[in-house]
Amino acid sequence: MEYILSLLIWSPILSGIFILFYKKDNFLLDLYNILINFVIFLFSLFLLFNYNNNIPDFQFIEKVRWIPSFNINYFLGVDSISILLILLNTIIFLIVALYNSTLLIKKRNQYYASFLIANGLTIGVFSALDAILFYIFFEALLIPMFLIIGIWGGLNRIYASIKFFIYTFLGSILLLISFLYINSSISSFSVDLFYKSSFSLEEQEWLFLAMAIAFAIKIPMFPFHTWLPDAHVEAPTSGSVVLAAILLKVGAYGFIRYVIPVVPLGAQSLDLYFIFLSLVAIVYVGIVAISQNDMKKLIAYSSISHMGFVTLGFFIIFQLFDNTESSKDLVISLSGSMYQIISHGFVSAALFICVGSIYDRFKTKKISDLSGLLNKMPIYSWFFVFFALANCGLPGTSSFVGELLIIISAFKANYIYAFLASTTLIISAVYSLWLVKRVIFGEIKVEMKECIDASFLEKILLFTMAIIVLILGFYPDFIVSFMNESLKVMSNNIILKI
Amino acid sequence: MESLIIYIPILLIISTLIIGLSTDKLNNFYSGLISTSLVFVSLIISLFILFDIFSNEKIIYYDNFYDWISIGGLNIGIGYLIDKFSAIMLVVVLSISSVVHLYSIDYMKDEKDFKRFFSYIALFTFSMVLLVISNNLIQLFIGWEGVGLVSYLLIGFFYKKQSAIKANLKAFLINRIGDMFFILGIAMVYAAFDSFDYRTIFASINITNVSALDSYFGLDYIDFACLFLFFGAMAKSAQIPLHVWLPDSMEGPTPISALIHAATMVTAGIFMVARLSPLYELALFTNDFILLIGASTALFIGVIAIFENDIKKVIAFSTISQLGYMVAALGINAYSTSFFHLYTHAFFKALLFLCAGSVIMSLHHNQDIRKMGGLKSKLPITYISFLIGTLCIIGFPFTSGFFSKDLILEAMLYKDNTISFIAYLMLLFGALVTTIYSLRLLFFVFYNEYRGNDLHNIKEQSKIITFPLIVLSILSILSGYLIKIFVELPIFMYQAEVNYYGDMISFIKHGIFSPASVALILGFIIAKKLYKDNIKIKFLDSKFINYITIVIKSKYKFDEFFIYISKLLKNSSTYLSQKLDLGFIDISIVNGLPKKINSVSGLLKNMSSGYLYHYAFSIVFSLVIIFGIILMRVL
Repeated sequence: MEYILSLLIWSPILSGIFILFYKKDNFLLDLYNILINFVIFLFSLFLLFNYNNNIPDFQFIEKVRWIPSFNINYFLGVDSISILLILLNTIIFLIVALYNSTLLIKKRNQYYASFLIANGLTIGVFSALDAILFYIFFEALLIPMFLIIGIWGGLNRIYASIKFFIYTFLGSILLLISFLYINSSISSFSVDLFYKSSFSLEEQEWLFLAMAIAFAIKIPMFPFHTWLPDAHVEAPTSGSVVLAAILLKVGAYGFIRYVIPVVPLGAQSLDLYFIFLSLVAIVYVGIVAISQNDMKKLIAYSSISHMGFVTLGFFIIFQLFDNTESSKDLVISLSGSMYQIISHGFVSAALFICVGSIYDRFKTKKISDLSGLLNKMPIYSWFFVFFALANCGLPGTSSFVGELLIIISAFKANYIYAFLASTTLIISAVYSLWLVKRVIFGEIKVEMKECIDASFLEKILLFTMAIIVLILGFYPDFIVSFMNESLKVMSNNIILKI
Repeated sequence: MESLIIYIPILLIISTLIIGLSTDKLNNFYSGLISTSLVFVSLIISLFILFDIFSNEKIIYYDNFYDWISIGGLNIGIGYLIDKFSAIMLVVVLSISSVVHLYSIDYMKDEKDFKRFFSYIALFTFSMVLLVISNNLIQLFIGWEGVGLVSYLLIGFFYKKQSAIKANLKAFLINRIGDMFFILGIAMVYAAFDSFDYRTIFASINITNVSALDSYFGLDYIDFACLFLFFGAMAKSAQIPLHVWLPDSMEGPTPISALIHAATMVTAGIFMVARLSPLYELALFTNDFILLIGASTALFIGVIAIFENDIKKVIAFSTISQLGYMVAALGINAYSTSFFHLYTHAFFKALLFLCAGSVIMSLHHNQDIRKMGGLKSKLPITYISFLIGTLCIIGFPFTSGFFSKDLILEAMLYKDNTISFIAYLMLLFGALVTTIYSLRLLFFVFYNEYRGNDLHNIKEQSKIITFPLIVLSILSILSGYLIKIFVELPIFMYQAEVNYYGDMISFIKHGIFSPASVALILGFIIAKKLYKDNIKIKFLDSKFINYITIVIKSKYKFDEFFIYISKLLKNSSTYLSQKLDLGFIDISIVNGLPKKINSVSGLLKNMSSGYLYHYAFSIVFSLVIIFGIILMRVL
């Protein structure tokens, strides 16, 4: 299995292209789609079990000269961070494939093809070790997402998809320029050489700013976040799931792979601004989420708020190092961010599936149109309550772990950060549980009398996700210690350069 | 014995899952029976552990079940630390839980969601056990939030009732305010001692020079950490001003009020502070703060109970007031005294609530005490149990409440400084208030004439209801005689109790001839005159008293304050969302910029118009300017 990464990337893409030619809308199509996604999931499990955690370096490396005149290589490889994200990716896409098979969709084969291609491209993003290759996957990923929102979206889909596309594309140009600049000095695009580069402080600041804006748009960080609620509202349910669970994480991954270890001095000198923006995301965006009347918008804002924790965990490491002089606190903080990424992937995906199911039944996402779902759909409603509670970081669910690690690290960096970050305990509870109170509890509205509870497949999907969230919440150690070595290497890289 | 401990949480989680996930094939009665017996088995295990712990002075159980997180330098385990303190707490929790489980089989029998209820209370007991046996702060917090979650779910058990789902949201959010500070407190402790483990923290107190830590805003580091942790306890243990959720929590089923909102969960705050006593002993400022909060809660919230007419709410306010006694004792570092009151209170308060439940059941869900009366002969067992509960809470000699309340008052006097003396007076006055509202409740419910309708339909409930009452009555009376064990609990650093306790006989003698007895007698006289004999006293009609009554009946406007805060949050959310997020960032900048670009490109578009004379003009114009510049330079 030398070429496992290529297999992981290209098999979904090729099978996606393949089913573009299969015009019939029948059971075989569903089966094929699910099967492919399942096989990819198995491949990613293979990756997980064959990864040797004792070697603190990239593994499963594939390196082929691609465009030698520009030093561009087809260079793939993964460390434990990438593996976890690939695993998150394949699980989410498998869930989406299963969920999609229950829906009525026009142009079904094209819809599936978009998701399959997006799946492959995301794996490409997480495993590329050549900056240009990364950039190509990163950019290409926009296309299927653009199509998913633009073709299968809601009424205002054109506006939302174009906003989404232009906004993220704008950032990417800055990213490309930065990569070219780095290349002009070290004449290579491979990541390990990026880490060994040394630029002056001023260069690093500019490079940092350019790359950080690109990824900040993707995460999204305040104030670049306004494309996300629109995109979510217009996207079809499965599109929202992928957007929240995978696409936002690409931005976070970019920070930890291409920005902070490459230009740590730049990051260090500008970290205050980014900490500030992260805290604004946590507090301000959380408060904005409270009054949303569209459930998808509410969850979108809560996503932004949760991603604020991720970036907070990234950017406090410099002050942590100043205060404690040990790499161990950096590892804890970065672990918190990574954990938050993974946890949010599952929780937000599940919430979007819940909202999607409501929309399928009542053709509305407005909170004010809904009430008392528990009376008619008890099983479904309890899942909704469970994931809402997970969303507000209840201990025992996965969200708590990341928040805890980041808050205790933030306190060591500066008590004000910890204080502001911990307000999320209140704010997230307000928006999550107020949502539950209005939608799930209470008397049912007359016009909602006719409805069916969760279907068998919905039950299976939600149950699986609930179990994952609980396992991640009660036994975080297997993930935290899995990524420990890679994060140690990373934080040592950073420390060496500052 | 130590290996048995893991079975307690396992049995409880099994109970939660079996009952929660079972289909209709398992009928309600049997699922209740299974659940009850599983809890009962856990109780027996905990009793074995208790005897084992007390049989040998040196035994402490300590280990981890598994590593929750273990990365270089950060080790958090899920495990247990059982010493005499947590062993007693474990038995208290499990015994009340077993009794309430049994009682609920009958009380909840007509509910559609019977199994959901049992699943919840098993989950509650599980979380509470996790909290009690924890050996580190993170596990404590997990249990802490777990019990909060179940409390949320159970207050909103009747989810169709608007009042219930409002109350549960309120309870959760108010608790979250406390939790926010609690987690900050945990972060502070971790930052100072580099560990979450109790024993490691306590051991490194000696090594770490506590006074060398930073101070914030003129307060010591340790003061701040303890203060933040105590904020968490204030929410959970319903202390002013975060007590407002507890009276509303009475929306839940009555057995829950007994188990969660009286005997066990609300005492978690007291448990936490006592567990962390080595830290709190160093936090001098925080101790005074705790003392004042506790004493004012005990007095001012107790007074509200005198004017309350809902049977459950009277008991709820009395719970808050009694929690105030415990907190006040924490404030003078009398941890085992506080813990002793926690333990006696658990039994008699659970008893009072279960009696109230029995009354409510017999009266077909009437909770208004103005429509009760004369139930003494109709419900004899409930009456006697309620009488015992009342005697305990007012501290009648030889009952458990007598011992624990007197011990707290003695502790206040023994501390001997100004603040503790003020607190002593407040608590003494609180004892008078306690006597008045408790006897008022007793007289309203069981004495005089029945004031409702349908008297002949009222009869005593089945044995499943009355048996728990009898058990708790016996425990309520006898539990006080274990005072010596508590006084000599060897787990707290400062053990002053031994000094003011003396021995049983002198303590009883001293207690009978103390100001507390005067308060008791005075309270009895007042309550009898006002509420049994219905004698009007002119003095009470005076303007001044009227004014005070209005203030008390408004419950000091704490609820209104929190409603105001929530409105403020909601309005600012709407404002920020509309004006800043949508209005400024999105419309003005994100969509505004492309529009600007569009208009600039419109200008440029005009320039490339395609008309030859436009181009000719611009060529000539540019040439003139260029030549002009060259000319200027040459000249």
